[in-house]
Amino acid sequence: MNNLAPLPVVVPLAAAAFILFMSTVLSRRAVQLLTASCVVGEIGLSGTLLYQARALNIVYWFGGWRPRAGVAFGVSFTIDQIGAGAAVLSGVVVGIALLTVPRTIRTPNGIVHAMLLTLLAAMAGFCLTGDLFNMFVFFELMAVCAFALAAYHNDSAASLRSALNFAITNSVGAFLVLIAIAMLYSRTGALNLAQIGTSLAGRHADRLVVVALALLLVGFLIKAAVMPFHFWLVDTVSSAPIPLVIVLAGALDVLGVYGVSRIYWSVFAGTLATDSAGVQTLLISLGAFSALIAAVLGLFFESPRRRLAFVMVAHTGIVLIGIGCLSAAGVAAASVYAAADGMVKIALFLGLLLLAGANAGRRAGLMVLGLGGLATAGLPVFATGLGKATIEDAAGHAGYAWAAVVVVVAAVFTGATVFDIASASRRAPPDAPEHQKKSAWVPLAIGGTFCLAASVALTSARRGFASAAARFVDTFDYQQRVLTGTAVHHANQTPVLALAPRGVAIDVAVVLAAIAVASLLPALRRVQPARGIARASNVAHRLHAGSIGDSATWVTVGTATIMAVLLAQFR
Amino acid sequence: MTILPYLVAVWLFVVGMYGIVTSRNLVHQIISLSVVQASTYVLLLAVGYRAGATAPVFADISTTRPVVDPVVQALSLTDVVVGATVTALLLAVAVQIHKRTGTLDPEALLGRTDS
Repeated sequence: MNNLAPLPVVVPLAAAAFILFMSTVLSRRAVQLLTASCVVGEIGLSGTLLYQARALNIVYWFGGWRPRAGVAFGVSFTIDQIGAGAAVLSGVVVGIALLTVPRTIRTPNGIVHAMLLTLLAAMAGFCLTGDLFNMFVFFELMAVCAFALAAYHNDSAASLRSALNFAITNSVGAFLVLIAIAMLYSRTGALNLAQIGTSLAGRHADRLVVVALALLLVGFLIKAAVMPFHFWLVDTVSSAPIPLVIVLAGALDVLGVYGVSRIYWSVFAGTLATDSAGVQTLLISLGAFSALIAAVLGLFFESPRRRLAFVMVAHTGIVLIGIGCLSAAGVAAASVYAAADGMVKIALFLGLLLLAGANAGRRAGLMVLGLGGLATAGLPVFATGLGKATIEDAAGHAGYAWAAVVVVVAAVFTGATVFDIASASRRAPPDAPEHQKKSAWVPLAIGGTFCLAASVALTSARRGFASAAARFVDTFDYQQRVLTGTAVHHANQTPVLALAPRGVAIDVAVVLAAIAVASLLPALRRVQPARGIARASNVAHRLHAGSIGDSATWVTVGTATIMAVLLAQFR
Repeated sequence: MTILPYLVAVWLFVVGMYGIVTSRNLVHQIISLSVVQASTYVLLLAVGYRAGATAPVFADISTTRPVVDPVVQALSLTDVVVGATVTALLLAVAVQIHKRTGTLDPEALLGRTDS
């Protein structure tokens, strides 16, 4: 029994309660210090778990309710390296978001810090838990904290409306997950992921199991903001406070994809093992659809934050393509890409923030955005290049060469979008200097540099990602470790994550193409667009105006389609 | 065993979603979300129901009496708490929106992207 396991959740939660309880006594400085030290503590604890889980998954039973005779009664945290790594990433992301709180939120007080800490606790819990109902609770806790933060600037109608859109869409997603939980519980009598997976394994996946899978997929993909469930994200990123946007960009949206992969391998892999091609095609198609359409839409909008929101949606699509290959290589590639890309996206938002400030800050902001553009397009120095190239390989290997082409095209457009934002803001006159102090830009620039450096440094952890992915997809090992406590010898081969010369060539070509597209864009804007394009652009703008009803309609349509496709596959 | 509770759950979900999609009033829209959530309560309780069983409290009954599944009741209770939190926060946001803009019509708020 590893007693550290629950601490990454307990520490931030306890601190959040303490800060609220003592909010009248504690000075602002004390709140900041306490919050920062808790975030560092969470990173340290999750990092320790990451190290301890290097050979075997850590299983922690709350209250000591261990399984009897291979049947789980209690609630477990089941920690593997992918989960612990995601918890570390969450901590880093919240830490950087904390850096921007004094600069972007008026009258920061204990409430914002407490909400960020609760959000961190929920994210860590979501990554570490081994229980399906626990996943729902943490999922809902993340959503509640995030939309309370989104509504924090309550003098802006846009911000309030986007918070409503966020909350309603995500709550519907959570209810879909809960319905699926009820269905799986009615079939297996279990809530532990490993226990459900074991009960389903070897049996034919009937309609109930397939519908439950469809509902879980939709629920988590709403959180991941994969098209057509992305409307809330575009709305929120455009108008929410920057700290929340940074958490969303760095980790929160991609945790939805983590949820999909976790439930697939722990619950459904056993029962769908023989014919997983249907799920594969579905996930890769959804990812490719998101990547391509969002990457194109990013070019058509004006507001930089809105454009970066489309970059986020497109890149989550690329991660989903990697996961959708349903192979260890795909998971390894997708997790490298997700971690590195999260860091890069945070750097981009910090760059935007710098551009709004004083002159020295503007120069730093342009630098961060320029380098961030190179990383977005996937220059091989950055781990995004490694991740993108290996996702292409995994897709090709799984027989979806067209998806690899989509990844390349999407990266060209998202890179071009970032370059275009940078060059447009270079031409634009600087905003009136805000009330901020002259030196206020320095921590932001350091944060941006740190993020970019982290996305370079992640390339050196490729072996770790590969072996973690091999264990992540080993369903039998996961289940045995939870239910009997024994370790099974890994049947899966560890994939090799390496940048082949062909991958380097494609990456460099993508970067060059992105620069070329970005330099053509201003000229293209001056040309009167063809009527069809103008009309399409109008429709896109209207669709993304932030209507909650539209968002809910797309959720309904998407759910029905995904359910129909899966039911047709598994008759 | 009857399928009626399951039909009720489906009906509540569909009718709630219809409310969210078509609503022209934020308070109505938020209550519609609660209706969607009500479908999960019904479904959870239906899953744990056993004919002829009693409440799972063994203080004053013999341990051999059949009882309904207590796990789903715990789940529903958590679900209710989550629902109360979400509804309270959303209604607070709706009140703020009405204060700032004087309207509760979601369509009247569209396209405002400035912060």
